[in-house]
Amino acid sequence: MSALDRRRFLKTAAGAAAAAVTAGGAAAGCATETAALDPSTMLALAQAILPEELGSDGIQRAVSGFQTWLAGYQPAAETTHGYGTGNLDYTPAHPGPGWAAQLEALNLEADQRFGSAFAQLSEQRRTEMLRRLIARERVERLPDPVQARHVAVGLLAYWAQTPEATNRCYQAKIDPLTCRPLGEQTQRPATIRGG
Amino acid sequence: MTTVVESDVCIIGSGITAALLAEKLSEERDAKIVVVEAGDDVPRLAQRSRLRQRSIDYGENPWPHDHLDGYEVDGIQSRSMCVGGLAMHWGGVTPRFTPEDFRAKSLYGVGDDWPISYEDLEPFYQEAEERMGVAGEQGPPEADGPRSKPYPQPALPLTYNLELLKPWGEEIAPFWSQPSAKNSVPYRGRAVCCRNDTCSPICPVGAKYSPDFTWNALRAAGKVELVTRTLVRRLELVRGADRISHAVAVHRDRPDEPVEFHAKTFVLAAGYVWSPHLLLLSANDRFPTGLANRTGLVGRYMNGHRNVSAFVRLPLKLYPGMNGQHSLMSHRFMRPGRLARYVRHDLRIWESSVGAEPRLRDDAGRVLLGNDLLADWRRRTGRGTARVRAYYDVLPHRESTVTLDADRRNPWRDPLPKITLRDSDESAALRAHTEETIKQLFQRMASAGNGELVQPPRADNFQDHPGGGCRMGTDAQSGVCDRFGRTFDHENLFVVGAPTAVTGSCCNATLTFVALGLMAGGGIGRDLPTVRRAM
Repeated sequence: MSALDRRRFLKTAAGAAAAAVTAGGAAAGCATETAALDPSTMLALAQAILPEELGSDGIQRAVSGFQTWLAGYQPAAETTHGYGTGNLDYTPAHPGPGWAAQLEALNLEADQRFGSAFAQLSEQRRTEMLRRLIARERVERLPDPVQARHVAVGLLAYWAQTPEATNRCYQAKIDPLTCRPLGEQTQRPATIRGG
Repeated sequence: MTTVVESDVCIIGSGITAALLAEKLSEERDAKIVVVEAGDDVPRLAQRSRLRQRSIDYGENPWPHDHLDGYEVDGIQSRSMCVGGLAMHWGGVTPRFTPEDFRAKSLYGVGDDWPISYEDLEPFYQEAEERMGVAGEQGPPEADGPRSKPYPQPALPLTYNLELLKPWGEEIAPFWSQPSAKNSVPYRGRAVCCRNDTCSPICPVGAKYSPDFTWNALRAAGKVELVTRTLVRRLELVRGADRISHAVAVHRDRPDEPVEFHAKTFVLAAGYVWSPHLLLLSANDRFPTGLANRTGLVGRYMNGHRNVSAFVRLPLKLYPGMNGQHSLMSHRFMRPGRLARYVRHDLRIWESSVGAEPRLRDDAGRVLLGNDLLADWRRRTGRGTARVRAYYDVLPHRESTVTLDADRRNPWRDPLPKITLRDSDESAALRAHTEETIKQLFQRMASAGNGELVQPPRADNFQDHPGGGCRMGTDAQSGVCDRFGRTFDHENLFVVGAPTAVTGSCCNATLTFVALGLMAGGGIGRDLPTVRRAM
């Protein structure tokens, strides 16, 4: 493990295990402290799985948004209860520690197979590694980010639900779930050029 | 030591019917009004953008502490118990019932006629719309109930998507902008809708009417006293008489200090479950099966409506996300004329992204990443999707009930309610025919637009917008209360709103519940002095 800080990996992996064990504590109201996902590995992952046309700014924005989203996550928070049901439910355990361990595992694999950190691999190799991992996910639809078992799916799911992603897909300024003038809803959303 | 709170009118419950009834009474009558609510106050408007964002980002409940612990009830029962009640979550959709709802027996030979007509209720529909601020437009007469005055606000404009879908829908029936308690113009100090598109569960700008606005205004003006975190456990009679003397309550923070609410008039406005539940809990020697229950009708004829829904792919380029909670609406099939077999339903159309969501695998099961994922997503948005849904009329059985659950108790050891909805025999016999009729309608709609159903239509077993449990009637043999909500057994006890509904119709029912409550206001206020206006 020449290019990898093994101690950091082990520490993170241990943290993930501890977090899993203390999920019950979180449910009792204890805050769960989690480190941000390693920025350089996350960026390398994002470059491998997000559409190229986002450009470097768009990819960086998606990663930053994902990190911010993750930092704000609260396990065991009461979820919205719908009409007609007496059942209450709560958000699941914090996905951060597990995802951090997956990033470390990517680095470990990259180091063992190619002798470098994940971020130093070519985009093609990074994509191949991630495609193999994502292929294990037996889902067709993107889940809610917090339900994603793998961090790569979590990032994709997070990005896909942003207004920016919808606008890019439709190449139109729809801006779902954002405050905008009521009167303008009668008009076709403005076309976004070059997007 | 027992705390005694005295008033002229004690309203139990603080949901939407209670709020607008209290507003009306406070304007028209010179009376001390006390409102008792078991739940907490709700977060202020300024906090709602943040709460909404967390709801979007993480699925968190945007109304923290909006329920009581230990209230896991068996049956269809929403959990909200807070100031404003379930209408803090509501979608703000406010159609009226049609005249046919009130005369089902006379017109179609099924169910029961109400003791009131649409025409009796019409002025109170208008009043409810004006108090909430409903934006709407009148549909054509063959497809919409009559109205005596225009809506208080212009209709919410149709989105670009709905404008495209309207001609398609009108191959089948006339459609128009769904009436909504959402501001299309500034109204009573509240902002215009800005398409945040989270009306249910939370509007962050106050464009959607919710009862907290009314309560805040009434409290600020000193017109009502609203006592929160206080659960009414039973009603007690005047010794040797049938009048209600007081309500016995418990403050959740001081359970060892009894609270009693003494009043000349009591108004039960606690919704379709908790209203009959309290009457059943209040059984005594004179009324051994519960108050207002001499003829055994409390907790019976619980009603609502089921739905059938589908997604239709159409050769239209739509842009879902423009305002997904707004819809086209038609009541054409609520006014069907003569029928060989009774089927009545509403019909609504929404934009949808179903069938065009981003996905992780293509049809061949290949993992999609990066450019491939976006290209696949983009390709599938070339055609648009419409969501269609029809609520259909379910007539209630006498044995469609709220009862006291022998196995479940609340933290104060009172039996919890048990809700068992049941179709009348005629409705049960019609169910398959009704659902098949609607499924065929959806198939016709798809064909009319050169489209196809994304998947087979789905019939839901859930009954929405429940009501009943204290149905109104012409006498004690047919109802728990009269048209004004006055119980036949207790001259100073009224039940208002959802519990008094005879049937659930086949469209969103909240406006009707409120209109019934405002109509009851006339009876409740009759014995109270009128407000003296300054000269």
